[in-house]
Amino acid sequence: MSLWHGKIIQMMRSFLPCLLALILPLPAQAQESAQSLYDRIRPSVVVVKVESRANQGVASVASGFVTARPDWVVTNYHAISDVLLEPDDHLLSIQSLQGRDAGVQILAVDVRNDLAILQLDTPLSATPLPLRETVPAKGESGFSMGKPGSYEHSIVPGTFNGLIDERSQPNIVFSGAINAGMSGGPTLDARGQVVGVNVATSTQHQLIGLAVPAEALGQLLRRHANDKPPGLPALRADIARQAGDYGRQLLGQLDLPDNSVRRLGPYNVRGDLIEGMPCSSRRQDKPGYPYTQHAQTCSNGDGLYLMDGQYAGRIRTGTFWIRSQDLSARAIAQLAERRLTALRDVSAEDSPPGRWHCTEQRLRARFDLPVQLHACRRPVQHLAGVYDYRFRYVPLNQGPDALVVALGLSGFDDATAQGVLRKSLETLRYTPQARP
Amino acid sequence: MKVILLPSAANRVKAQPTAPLLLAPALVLAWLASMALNLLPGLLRPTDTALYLELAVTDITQLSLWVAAWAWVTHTRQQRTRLAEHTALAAGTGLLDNAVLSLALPWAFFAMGWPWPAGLYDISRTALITLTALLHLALACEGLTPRRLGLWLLASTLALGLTAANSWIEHNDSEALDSLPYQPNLYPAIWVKTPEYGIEEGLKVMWEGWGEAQDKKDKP
Repeated sequence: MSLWHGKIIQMMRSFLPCLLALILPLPAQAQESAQSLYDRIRPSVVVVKVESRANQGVASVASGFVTARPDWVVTNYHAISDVLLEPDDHLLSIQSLQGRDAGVQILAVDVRNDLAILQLDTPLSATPLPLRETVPAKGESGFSMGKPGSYEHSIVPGTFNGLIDERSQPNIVFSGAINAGMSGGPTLDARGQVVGVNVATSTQHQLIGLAVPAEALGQLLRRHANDKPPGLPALRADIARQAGDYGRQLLGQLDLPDNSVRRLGPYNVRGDLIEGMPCSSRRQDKPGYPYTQHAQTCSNGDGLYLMDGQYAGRIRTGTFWIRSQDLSARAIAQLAERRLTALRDVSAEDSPPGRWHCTEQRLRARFDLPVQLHACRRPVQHLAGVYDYRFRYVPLNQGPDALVVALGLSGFDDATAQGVLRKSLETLRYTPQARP
Repeated sequence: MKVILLPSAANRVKAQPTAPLLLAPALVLAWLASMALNLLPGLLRPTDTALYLELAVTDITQLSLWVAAWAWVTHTRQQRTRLAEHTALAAGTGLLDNAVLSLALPWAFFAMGWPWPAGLYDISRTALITLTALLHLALACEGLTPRRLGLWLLASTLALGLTAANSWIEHNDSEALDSLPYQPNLYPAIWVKTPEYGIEEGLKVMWEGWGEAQDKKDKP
């Protein structure tokens, strides 16, 4: 009896793992090691390379992966934006286990989620990676794959930690080392399903990587399932449209009542631009100066990446309140003028150069307050109907106070920029009896 | 005893009219006052004092050299300097520059709500200086001949052309790409004409006038 019993136990010990593997295949795959996962996934991961046509020098190197179809490679929009916007200067190719392939066309881009689908003339002999369009639970283990810089293809373990919504779209937080060059590569769960696309890494923290959720990728893939590459002009028009849509959404967010008005001395001014990004205020004057100066700066984050130094839907505001009981009215006007002159410098903003076209307009704000408005605009290169704007306005009130408001808008269309400026002007109010 | 006076240079000097002798110091004082009126509101920080003192000293030096040069030219032709007349003329020009071109005119533009055109000050100041130079020339040469007038016209045209070119370069060179072409022109908000447009109409008018013109230039 005991021998028989012992044999049964021995048989169970031998067959149980096989039995469990048949009954519960997913947990078995979950135990797949990083090494076997790498071996299985590696043929589907490629290098997306952008070269300069002038000298064949490498302009950028990113990663990508095959999904949905063997002739489709998904990567980040920012990895291929140079080719899209400056095709005469750049050449796109992919490097797979089968070798280098320059027969690549851009099928679709999603600027908002920083995604792009590339279509290859020759399909790759690689299995399209399956998507998992649900956000991994906090603490779930996973991997990130790609080619970090000049190093070999890598697989990096990490832990998922929910979503972050600070950027234009929610991103999955992956606590693992996503390095430069891995952008566009797959973020995988322990079963090897794609849960996201590597997109960014935090420069302020250690091992905080971000990935675009697979749900956004799935939507993009389904939307373009039957499309053919539309050509670069149509893609650029689509980017301009997406930038416009994003700007209009931001404009709607400015209507949120809670944070929209702030008090700055005797002035009512525009406050926070979006929820979760409060304006910062600081006193800027120095001892011995015959005036005080307060500055409030607000931002809505980075906006959408369009190209190096150029973003869409980015708003920066600076509001400067100057006050002096000792200075003459002309001196206070000169202080405001100096502030306006200081705001002329745009070289530090690291945006592509372009000629500004400016104009001035005198307006009547609320309660007939005269306002001097200076407005500048320049077109965003390669994208018709998308502009950068710089607005500065000064309410022309008497008394010991002066206010200078500056708005910098990047990548907006005319109607939306006008809407943002209008909301700012409509908030302005001057009540001289008010004290800070 | 009969004394025969030799025709010395001293005897050839004509008697100075009294009006310029009184006018010159009055205009110099008025010019200095107008300079103070323009510079004093700019003293906003402790470091501004040295800067504005330097500006004042530069202006005084330039005017002194200008007067001295014309006095010397006059002396070579008339054996007298006519210093008071030249000083009155130069100080009067400085007064016009400070009171009208630097203050009243831009303030009038501000009050009316008109943009202050780029280069307007430099060009109008050059025109004023060339007109003053014509008067100095007439004073130094005791009249104007067609040849002198022609020379003045040539020099004036050149000066105005160079000023306009310099102004254009300042606003169109590669460095201009790094700055917004803003023309500072703010004054106290007294006597400001009530703006014609409210926010909605004002923005619409601005975009129509500005956006469409730019669209034509910036077709990508």
